[in-house]
Parts: sequence; C-alpha cells; structure tokens
Amino acid sequence: MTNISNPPCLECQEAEQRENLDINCILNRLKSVKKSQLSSREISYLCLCLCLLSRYEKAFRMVKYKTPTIEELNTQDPEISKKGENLSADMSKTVHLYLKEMMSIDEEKRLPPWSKVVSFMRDTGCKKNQQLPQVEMQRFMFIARVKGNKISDIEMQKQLKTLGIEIEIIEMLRNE
Amino acid sequence: MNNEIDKNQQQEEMSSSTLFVFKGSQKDFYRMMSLFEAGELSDLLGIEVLDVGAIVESQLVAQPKVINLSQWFQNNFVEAIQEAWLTLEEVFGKSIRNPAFRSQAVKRAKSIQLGDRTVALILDIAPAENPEISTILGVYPIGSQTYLPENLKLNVYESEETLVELQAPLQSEGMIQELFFLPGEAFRIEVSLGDFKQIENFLLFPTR
Repeated sequence: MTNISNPPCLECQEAEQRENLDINCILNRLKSVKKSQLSSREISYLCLCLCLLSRYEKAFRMVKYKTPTIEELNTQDPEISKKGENLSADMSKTVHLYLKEMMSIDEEKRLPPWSKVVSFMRDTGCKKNQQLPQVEMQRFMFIARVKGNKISDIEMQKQLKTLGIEIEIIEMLRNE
Repeated sequence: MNNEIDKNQQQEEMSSSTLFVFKGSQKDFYRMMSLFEAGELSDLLGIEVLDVGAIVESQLVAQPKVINLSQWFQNNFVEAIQEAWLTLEEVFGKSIRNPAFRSQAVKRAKSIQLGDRTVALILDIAPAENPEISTILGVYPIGSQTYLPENLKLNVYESEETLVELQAPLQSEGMIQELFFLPGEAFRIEVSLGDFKQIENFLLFPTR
C-alpha cells in the first residue's frame, strides 16, 4: 500500500523538487476524483509530466526506469517512441480525465499544457513551501527536437527571439 | 535516376532530426513548452518541432561505465581504476575509521563529490553460498569529516526494483548494507545529496 504521508516514488520527489509541488496534496485530490488511490504507474506518469519532461523522456523512463543521457534522447529508439504513444493514449483515459475533472474542464476538451497544470496545482494550494535555489530559477535547461538537419543554431536562436524567447544554445546534436 | 536520388535525399531529410539543448529562464521554458503542447510552436517558428522538455545538467554527462565485478575476483582492476575505484588505503589514507569490512573479501572504494561534500563509497564482495555473491556496500565520510552529510541517501536498484533505500541520520559515522547477487545480475548504486547525485553501475558476469 502506498504511504501518502511521504512522496511515494522517486519521480514524486523529483516533481516536488523541480516544480515546487506538494505531490501528496495532488495525489489526495486525485484520489477523491478517482475514488481510489492512483496506481503506481499512474503516479509515475503524472510526476514525469509534472516535471515537464519531453514525450520521449517520459516514455524512456517508464520503459527503462532510468534517466536518459542527452545521447539517448537524441538517438530515439522507435520502440520506446511507440510505447510512449501507447502510454499517452492509455493515460488520456485515466490520469488526464481525473485531472480535467479536478480542474473543472469539460471531458471532451484537451488537457491544458502541463506547465499550466503545474501552475494550477501551485495556485490552488498544492505548492511545496520550499525555497528554490536562485540559480535554478534563473538558469533552466531544456531541449527541443526539430525535424530535419538543416537548421543552424543561429537561425534557431533568431526564430525563438521573434517569440520573445531569449535562450542560449549550449549543444546541438544531429540525428541523421 | 536523378529523381531517385532526390527522393532518397528527401526521405533522409524527413527522418532526420536535430536536438537543441537550451539554457534560459524558467519563464522562457514555460512559454516554449506551452506553445509546443498547444500545437502552435511549429507554425510560429516555421520549423516542425517534434518534442520539447526539461532536462537536468547531469543528463549532458555520459553515464558511468558498467563495472564488471567478476573481474575483481580475478584480481583484474584495470576497468575499476579507470572508473576511480581504488584501494581503501588510496581513498582513505592510512587511518580508516570504519574498517567494518571483511579481511578476506575483495574491497574497493571510490571518492564521491556531492556538491561541497565528499564521501567514500565502499564495495566489499565475497563469494557466499554458491552461486551467490555477498556484497557489502558502505558509505563513509572522508578526509577531515567525522560524519556523513545529513540526509545523504544511498539507493540500490536492480532493474526497476529498489533493493535498498537508506538515509543518513544526524551525526551518522557511516552506512552499511549487505546484499546478495547471483552471477548475471546487474545493479545500480545511487548516492545523492540534495540535487547532487552519483550513479555507479555494476554487473556480475556469469562464469562460463
């Protein structure tokens, strides 16, 4: 049985630390929607989503139970990608539905972006009262995978700047 | 012929991708992620974006090599030394405060830096009841430190299963745990302190 006085999994602790969330608070709310505890698979998936990971990394971690390196994220094992699609489809019938009900969103509508779900959780009382290190708030690392191998880093940076997104590109990996 | 080459080039271009690693503010990341999840990012950038997500710095570093412990029984420490698994004396110096390890076992230690603290991870392996291998894991303070950092965690995993989950209490002089593995089994040790984590992977090759 899951002990919900402490975060029940490593992914839960990660979501708490990365996004300043109180996972027990979220799990308790979802428990009242589902009318039972979320399964360990549902909890892991939810927490990986709340960590705002890429689709491929979520699938990789659910399949391989380890954090991928940047090379593994770049390599893209088709089998893992396929399992990721199936996972997302499965979870849209469970975790996504519970979240929509919790957020008073019509069942037919799409779940808002996970960054909005994270903000909703924080704003509605599931915020962990921990002081995040200032450096982490200022410097955040993230990835984007784009189709094709023609775009240069300068071009990418320029395009993002047009959207008001000013970032530094620290690495660029081609997958031929 | 030319058409075929063009077609092949086109197919290659279609299946190829580029992974960008960014550093920026959390606000910029949230904006990019929201636009991606809303299906708007590709149109706005004029580039097809396939995936977006947060990563942590440790993902940029290559994963540690898997250490073959069977070689240790054959007195072969080449791979171990390459991965900084040294003798206890090399790691602790002459005064080992916690020699809670077996004299007849094969022992190696590794100095692990976790932020501004350093600890030593010790592995002590010995054949147990055939074919089992008894493995004693220990984490001890190193250098001038007397105690382990509070909340230091030692986790051991075999595939998806958590075998050990220990946390150093206040003023702990060390943590120790015995585990048994069979030839062919692999395990992962994670030593973490807050955001800092060190991962060590091991494998016991089956004997032929």
